[in-house]
Amino acid sequence: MSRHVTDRLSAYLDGALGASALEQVEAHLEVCGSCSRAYQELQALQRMLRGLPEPPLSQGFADRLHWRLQREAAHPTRRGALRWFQVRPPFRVALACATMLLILGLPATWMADRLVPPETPLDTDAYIREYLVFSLDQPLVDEASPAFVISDSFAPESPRR
Amino acid sequence: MADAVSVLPGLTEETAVTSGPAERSGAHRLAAFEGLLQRHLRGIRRVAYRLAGNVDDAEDLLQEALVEAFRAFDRYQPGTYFDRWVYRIMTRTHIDWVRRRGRRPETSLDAPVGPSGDTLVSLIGDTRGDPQHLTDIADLDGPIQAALDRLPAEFKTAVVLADVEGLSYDEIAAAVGCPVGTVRSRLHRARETLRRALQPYLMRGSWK
Repeated sequence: MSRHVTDRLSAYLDGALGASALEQVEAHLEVCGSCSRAYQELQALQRMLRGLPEPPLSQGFADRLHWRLQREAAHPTRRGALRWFQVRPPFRVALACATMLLILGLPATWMADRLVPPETPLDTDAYIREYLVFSLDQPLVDEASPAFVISDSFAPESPRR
Repeated sequence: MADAVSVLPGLTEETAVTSGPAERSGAHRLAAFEGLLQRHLRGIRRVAYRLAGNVDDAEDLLQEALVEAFRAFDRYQPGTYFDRWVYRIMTRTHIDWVRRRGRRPETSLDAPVGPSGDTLVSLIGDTRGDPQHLTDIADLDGPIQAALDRLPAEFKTAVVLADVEGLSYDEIAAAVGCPVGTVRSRLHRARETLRRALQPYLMRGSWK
């Protein structure tokens, strides 16, 4: 027996199968009791759904609806202005993240500026004054310095090992 | 229902005398909208009820979808199917509702359903029970609706539009905004789930 055709029974019920698939399904239904029963159940299900009773609605519903529509006609909602805010779920998440970043990011940037101590420019005058006070007995330039500088500048480079 | 949703009897004449062009235009739009609604109300009401699952939610869904449709009425193309156009708005509204509420089944397994007040577990889940007393589709309305309510919203929409309203694959695809292949696959899965859930009742009664 060919393989079961339960996955094609719904399309078969709607007459939506191509010629080849239609032939296969009909041939299979001739010989397969299980698929044949499933098809009959699908037919019965469709008849049940089509035969469901008309739904009742409450007595005042029509008046309420009419009143809402009338109010809408008199004072139409400005859909154009609202539509900008109506975004699909994936974009809602992105929008929420962007909003959070904006809300949290701006204060964080502002705080960061205030938490790090500002760099003060080097006070050269104060440095020299301090040096003069504390190093009177050790002047900045002594006799040995020029000799050291000259000897260092003209010293031959030591060969690398 | 149809009587109460009037085409503004008397109001249009009054507004023509006392109000400006904007109000007159609103009244004319409302008259045209309600005229179309009267003609297609049965099907629209049926779809709302089967999607929502109970009268209270159906009325909320119907009202929200129809107000939404009225706001967008300028985009409706005269001469096309008004009911199909409303279904598109209604199915989108319904799926938004379900997403907002979460994907839990709207009907509890222990909640009483049907005219006899049986629980869903006893009517659907337990196939050992004798469903012989349920011999009329009206009696089965509760269990069928409960089985529909347990389907994911997209599947329920497909099966309601196809089997309750008799729309074609193309019409359903246009209403829910998805490819025809997706409609076909959703219908197959929805019907298969319903067939298994309602199996004890399918081969009995007048729909056999």
